[in-house]
Amino acid sequence: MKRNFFDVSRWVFWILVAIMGILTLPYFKNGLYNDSKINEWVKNFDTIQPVPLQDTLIEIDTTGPVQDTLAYAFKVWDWHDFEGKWHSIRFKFPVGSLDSSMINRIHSYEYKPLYEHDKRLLRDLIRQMKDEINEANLDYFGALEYVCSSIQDIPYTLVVSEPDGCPCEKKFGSFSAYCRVQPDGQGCCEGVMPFGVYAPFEFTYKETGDCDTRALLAFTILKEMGFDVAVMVSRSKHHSVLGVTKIGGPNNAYGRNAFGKKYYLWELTNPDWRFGMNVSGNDWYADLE
Amino acid sequence: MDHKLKLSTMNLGKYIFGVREEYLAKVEEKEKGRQFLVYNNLTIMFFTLVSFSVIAGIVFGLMIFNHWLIALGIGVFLGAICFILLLLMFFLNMTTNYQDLYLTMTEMEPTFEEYEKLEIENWTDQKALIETEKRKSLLREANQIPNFDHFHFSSVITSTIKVILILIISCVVANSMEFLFFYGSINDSLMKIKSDPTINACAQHPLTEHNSELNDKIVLAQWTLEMLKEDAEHPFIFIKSRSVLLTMQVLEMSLGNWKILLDVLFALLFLTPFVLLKKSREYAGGLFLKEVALVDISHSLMFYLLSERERRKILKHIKEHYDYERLAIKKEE
Repeated sequence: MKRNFFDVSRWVFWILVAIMGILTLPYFKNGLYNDSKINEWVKNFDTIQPVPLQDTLIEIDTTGPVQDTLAYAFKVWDWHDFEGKWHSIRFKFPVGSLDSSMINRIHSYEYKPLYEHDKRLLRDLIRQMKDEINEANLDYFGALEYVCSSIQDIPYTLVVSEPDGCPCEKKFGSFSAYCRVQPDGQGCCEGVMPFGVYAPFEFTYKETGDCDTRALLAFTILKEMGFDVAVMVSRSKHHSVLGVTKIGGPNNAYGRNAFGKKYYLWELTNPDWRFGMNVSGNDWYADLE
Repeated sequence: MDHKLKLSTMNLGKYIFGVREEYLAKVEEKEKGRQFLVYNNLTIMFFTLVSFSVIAGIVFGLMIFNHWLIALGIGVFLGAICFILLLLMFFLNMTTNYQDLYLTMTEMEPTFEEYEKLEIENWTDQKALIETEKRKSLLREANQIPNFDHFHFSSVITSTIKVILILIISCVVANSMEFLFFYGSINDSLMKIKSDPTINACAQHPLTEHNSELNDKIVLAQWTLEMLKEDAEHPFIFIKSRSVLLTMQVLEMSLGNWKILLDVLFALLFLTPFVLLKKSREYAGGLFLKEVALVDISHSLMFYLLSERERRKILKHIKEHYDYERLAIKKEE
């Protein structure tokens, strides 16, 4: 029996050596190697990924069991994308967000504080949009269209800072005194201080907004997803659009930032407007990036 | 059968384990052949493992330094280290087995008592040698199948250390051999990563101010592509990556559980000779070690007889020429 132990062990050893020898030969090992996981791994480098945020609104009582002490409300954000497909996202936000967003807006004289403040309020919406993008396995441009279509699907509403700014006649149309979404896009909201723009959360809540309100919301969502985007402004046209990098070509309208970096322009005020359509004006610059 | 015959007539064991043929002079031819076979196998196993280690060193040398001469140097170096470590562990096992045998077969006190009654002071050297050989034969017959218990608590600790050491070596060798087995496929995967649009887009993405997670990805993508960039003056010789860790990650992802299986097989390969030495009766308690122990025991007995003979001669001389009683016995005051 003891001799058997030697013989068995000896054969085990040499069989193992033979296996190693066979593995050095081609064709015998192809079944073992499967690089499909590498494709999954590479997907992790997609810049459209969840963004960790420091949410100061969620208060955590560290003296007791950890719990979310905030009360939440819900809002449905739904739209038809450019292909006519219906999307609907029910997202949560802390109760009091609208007031918080409005108060912050009244004291802000630039786009940046609005973005910084409201990106936290929109965290759940952005997360869910990212999840849908990932589930649908959309590419870079597909993800941009997904987000922009959700904003372009909302009819236009003019937003002005003057307390009695509505109704009014503008070069681009007549606007009524109703601050609400109207199918013809002729709504008008007055007294939106300090410079006639709704904060991103206000826009998602009220679904009324004009060019810079839309550009700012698109910027907020896309920036948090990791896209290189900007809010582009033209003084001559009194207009704002979204600026995006990495897409676009020589025939597309673009603006630049202070360092000369190109942002291609994406008009967001109309559901029929697609990327690549001409945006007039030659003084576009990045106001927020 | 031819293989068996050859292995049982060659004596490769003498080059590594000192299996000298004169030790087995009194052993039957069949048993002698078996012992040669056993130790020849162990020697070939030993050299096989060392060869694997040399190849492993060359593989790692090529991956790290991308230079044949340095790789060969590392191969020789790693091979030498494994040669010494494996030899040390084999010898430690054999020494333990030998000591067990020696202690089991040696019960010298009763033997010495027998000689106290005999008048060995007049024995010649030849007579002492004959007596020793007679005792040796008796001992050989009495321990045809030596029986002893290996277990001691200290052996648990030493065995654990040895096994860990062997596993470390096997782990190093296993990884390098896997690189060797699959280097073609690994290179294909690395090229795929290098040309992947997602990772390239990520690497070109500017660092953002607010998104540290994205920044980490950008930095990792840039590093990955940097590791895959080939220097035109020093093209890759083996694996088309400058990072062992990146290559390892690709290998792990691609092989999945097969890698674990291959690692286990290599561990088994390295542990087999160790287990054989520890557990096989043909090594632990085999005829070779038994004969070595018998030689040592007979040497001890021979020198005991010679020294005892001289002691008695001197004692007799003292008793005849001196007042031994007065010298040796202390009188009571």
